[in-house]
Amino acid sequence: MTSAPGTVVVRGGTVVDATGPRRADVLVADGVVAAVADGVDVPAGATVLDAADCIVSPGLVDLHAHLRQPGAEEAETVETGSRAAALGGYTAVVAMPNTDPPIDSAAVATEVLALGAGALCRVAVAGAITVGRAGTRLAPMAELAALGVRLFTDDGAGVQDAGVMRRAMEYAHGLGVTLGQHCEVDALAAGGHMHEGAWSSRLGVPGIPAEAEELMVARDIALARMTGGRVHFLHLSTARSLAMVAAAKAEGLAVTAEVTPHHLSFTDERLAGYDAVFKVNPPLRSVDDVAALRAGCAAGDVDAVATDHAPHPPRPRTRRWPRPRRGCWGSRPRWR
Amino acid sequence: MSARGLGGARHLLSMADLDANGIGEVLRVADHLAEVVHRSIPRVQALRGRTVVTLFAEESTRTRMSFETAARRMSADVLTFNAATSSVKKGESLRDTVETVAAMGVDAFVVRHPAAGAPALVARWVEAHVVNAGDGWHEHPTQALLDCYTIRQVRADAEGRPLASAGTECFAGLRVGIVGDVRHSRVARSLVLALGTLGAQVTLVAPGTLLPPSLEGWPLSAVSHDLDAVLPELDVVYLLRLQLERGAGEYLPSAREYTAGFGLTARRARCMRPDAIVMHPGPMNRGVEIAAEVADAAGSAVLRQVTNGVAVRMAVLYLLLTGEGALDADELGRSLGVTGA
Repeated sequence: MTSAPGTVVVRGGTVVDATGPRRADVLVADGVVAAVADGVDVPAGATVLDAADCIVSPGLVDLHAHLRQPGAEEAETVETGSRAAALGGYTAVVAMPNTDPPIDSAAVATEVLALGAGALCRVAVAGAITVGRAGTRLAPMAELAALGVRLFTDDGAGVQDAGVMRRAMEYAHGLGVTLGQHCEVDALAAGGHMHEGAWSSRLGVPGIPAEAEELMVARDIALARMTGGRVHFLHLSTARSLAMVAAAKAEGLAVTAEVTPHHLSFTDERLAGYDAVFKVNPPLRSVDDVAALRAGCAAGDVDAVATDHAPHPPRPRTRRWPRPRRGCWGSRPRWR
Repeated sequence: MSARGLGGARHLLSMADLDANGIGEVLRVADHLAEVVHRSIPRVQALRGRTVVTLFAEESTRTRMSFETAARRMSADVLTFNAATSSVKKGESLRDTVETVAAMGVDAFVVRHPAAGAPALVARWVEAHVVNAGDGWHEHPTQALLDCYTIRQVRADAEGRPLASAGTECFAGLRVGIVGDVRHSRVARSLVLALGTLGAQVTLVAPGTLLPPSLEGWPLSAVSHDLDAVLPELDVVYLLRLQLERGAGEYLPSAREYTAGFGLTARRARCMRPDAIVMHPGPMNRGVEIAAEVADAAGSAVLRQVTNGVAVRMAVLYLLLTGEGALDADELGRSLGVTGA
């Protein structure tokens, strides 16, 4: 990244931060935000950025982005992914490890970290929990942690075996790192392409029941209680999942959760036109699930909104409804 | 032109595309066309110069032949796209295939595909009309239409009435049982919608694993797991095929157990109402969902369904491609090139 100019005034925009939106200017001096006020004196030699009709905010952090490199560069690269993120207001993203090869070794982690060093925003790297994300042998978490990796997940799939997940949590607990879980029980979800419910039944599409996610959430909460490990639930999509997380927190367990913008906005009814743009994993859920997730955000039960930016090359998505690969372009339209 | 009829519409993708008037219109046009079959030269000129492509990405001989026969009897040119021998084997996508074929100048695609929604996607990609000939578990609207035609025909015959005088009032309150693998059945989904629109009382009868996860919004009168309890009340017994190739095998302990609970055996057939109509979309698994002797018995309308399929598909193609709807009998006759009443 290029170094910031010494003194900058961002003038005329709408500042949005933890205290809410308001008209204000921002003074940055020596790389530090020095003042945020309506009408800031412009020091001599300062660069003035005209932010009329713009939102000015602290940089967003995306905990969950698929930058596809190495292995699927026709869909995205670290560089293009960081560009989309920057356009969406993100100054940092966490790169998910379901690349090809996956980030389950120091060699691949080093490669992605190096690519991230040249990107347009800060790129942190998540590692896999198991070798090859195959769910059987633990990945070298200590070696990856030594490179700065703090979050481990087999995202794209859940760790199916409770015994493996238990050992992973115990090992991670010893290292002080966090495990992220993509909660999806294959035995219930297999063959499904959208939320199992009234819409899937009407449309004649095999469904993924809410229980495919909830059973793994329940299991991992129990394992967190058993091991003292820290679990972060990725892209939760159902009301009951969030309710279980809220109860676990109330109990004092080290459990956190993120939801995606699309799970806060769209329901399974969007699939009525068989438009593969809305085919995502976990699937868009029911009206009640969306309402509960939104209420959970307002109530503070949700720790983060993460995009799960998951790009695919254009043609494979039109080829194979209902078997196009699941994904959603998350980073760029963040503010809409 | 009815608001939800085929005359003037672009596509027939789902039975939800038709209201009661729209269904009635298809049946009336099919009445006129049904006698064409018996002529020495069974042909009308109504679709001369039009091109119809059958695009079947799933195994089917009967439905494809039925559509092609229907199109040829209307004097349309027919192109057959057979997925098994096409560039699909080289990895050509459905979209590329459809756009290539459409570029040759096509008026209508008749699409069958193993994936639900494929005809809807095709409809977005081309200018031509699209008829859904069966998409995965989703719908098979022309099957539902020919089934309705058959029910109306059998009821009219039983009452000694000429078919032309029969509207769709025979469906009001008609007790129809749909038995079997509803979960995986596009025929069931279309038929439930059609019969619901026409005011029939539909009961689904199936083992617990062969019903869809949710029946919310389905126009049903009842759902039962006990065929023997429901059977004596039914005016129509509609049997679905056990869809072993579409996943039904994992849902049941065995075909034998299915037949014991849900097969229309000779014993069960004796418990039906004397005028009950037995129907099946075909092909039948004789000895599984229906006993061989029941399939061939007098109350079975199965062969009529097949015959009626051609006339109904002729009607669908006619209404879509010519945009002619809501014509009276004489105008329709002239438009179709069918002389006489």
